[in-house]
Amino acid sequence: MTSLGSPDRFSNLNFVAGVGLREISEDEIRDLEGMSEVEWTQFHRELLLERLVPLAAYALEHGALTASEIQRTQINQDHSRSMSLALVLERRLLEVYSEMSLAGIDVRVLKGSAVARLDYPDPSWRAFGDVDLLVPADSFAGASEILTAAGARRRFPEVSKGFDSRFGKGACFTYADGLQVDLHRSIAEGPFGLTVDLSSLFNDVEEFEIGEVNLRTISRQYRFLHACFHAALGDVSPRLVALRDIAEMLLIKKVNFSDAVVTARAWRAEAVIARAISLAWQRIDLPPNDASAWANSYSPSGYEERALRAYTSENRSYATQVAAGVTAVPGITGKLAYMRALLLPSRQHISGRDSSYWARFRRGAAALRESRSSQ
Amino acid sequence: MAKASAVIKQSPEVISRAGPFGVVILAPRDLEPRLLEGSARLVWDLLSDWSTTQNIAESLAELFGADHGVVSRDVEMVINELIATEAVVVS
Repeated sequence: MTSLGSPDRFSNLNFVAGVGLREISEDEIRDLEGMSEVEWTQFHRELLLERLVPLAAYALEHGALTASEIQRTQINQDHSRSMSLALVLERRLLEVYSEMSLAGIDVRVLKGSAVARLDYPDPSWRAFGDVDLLVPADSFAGASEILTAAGARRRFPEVSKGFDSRFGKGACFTYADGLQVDLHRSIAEGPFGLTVDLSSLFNDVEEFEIGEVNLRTISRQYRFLHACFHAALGDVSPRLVALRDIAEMLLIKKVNFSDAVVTARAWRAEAVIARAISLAWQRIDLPPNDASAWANSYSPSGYEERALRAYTSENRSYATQVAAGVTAVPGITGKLAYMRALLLPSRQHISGRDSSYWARFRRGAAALRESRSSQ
Repeated sequence: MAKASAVIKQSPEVISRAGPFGVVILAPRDLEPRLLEGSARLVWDLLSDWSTTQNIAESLAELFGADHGVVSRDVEMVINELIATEAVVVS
């Protein structure tokens, strides 16, 4: 048994992130009791931040972790709370989904509930913190209106009129009770979001059920690609749960990896998949396989390298990502419309992010310069 | 209050998550999720098929070797609460 009272708390979190993906020998069982008070507090906080509490609870139940009674109680209470939140979010999802469907919007559930219910052995293995919905570009404004009419407030106004339905990833809406709905037009911001064939996401449907209601989501192959986009492009250091999703779909649900790579190639996004798989295998410490070998040996194209920089460099920002998207917008007219939207945003958008048109212009111009100089 | 012989089952409209902590359920009339632990969780699990309060109480009294009267009162209390929030449906 390995004591967790070591300074390497990240490896302890990584261990939890991998629970259930492979057999664990007796030597590998981890003991939480050996942690000092400070180490336990830190580890416990990280479990919550990385959304790994459910996996820790199952690790305790199946003997991959051992813990004091107090630690076990804390983890079980946290698990119960995170599952209560999942139920509240699913109720909100049912309300919003039904309103949008009644309005004739062809909506798809992304991430959270769909992944928990379709890609894990049991939905209680996967915690989530919001509702994610994908709608067709031409329904984006209508879907936004439905959310607003239901009392949700958009966190940041649209960059400029029509930007969302033509170029944007989506928008985040929050309710007075703190619940959040992310409304998506695409699955990523910036260049990689602009080369995704959005219609294919709607054509390949899978259904799942919540309380006798059937909901539509994207197929497993697209859920896998979306999980990779989220992990590789979402945050500089992705949450471990996002990496676990990738490993779960590849190792347990046996997503067709070759087909996924072909689709990624068509989207000019093989580098995204490679980065996501490499990160997952590295951080969760999984044994090498065909997918990880492919990911580690993948050599990104010049375009991919430049595009990735907008998401992974130290000075990454919303502005840098959208500015880097110029190269991915097809045609001169499209590029000009995109640049115009970035440099001449709406007053509401500016008041949400920048202090003035001039500050916005300078930031947009700097981001464009930076994007060009790295090409 | 439902009769002990009324045939009841979990409502298909309930959404739930089970784990080592017990089970949390959100029934149509619940404002917030409800945590069912210990014997309340066992009652809930037994309600995955059609049953009666009487049958459930008998099963649990036998399982725990407990007094049938005491178990009956506890089970009845849990089930009445579940019926009030429409977490269970009556045949």
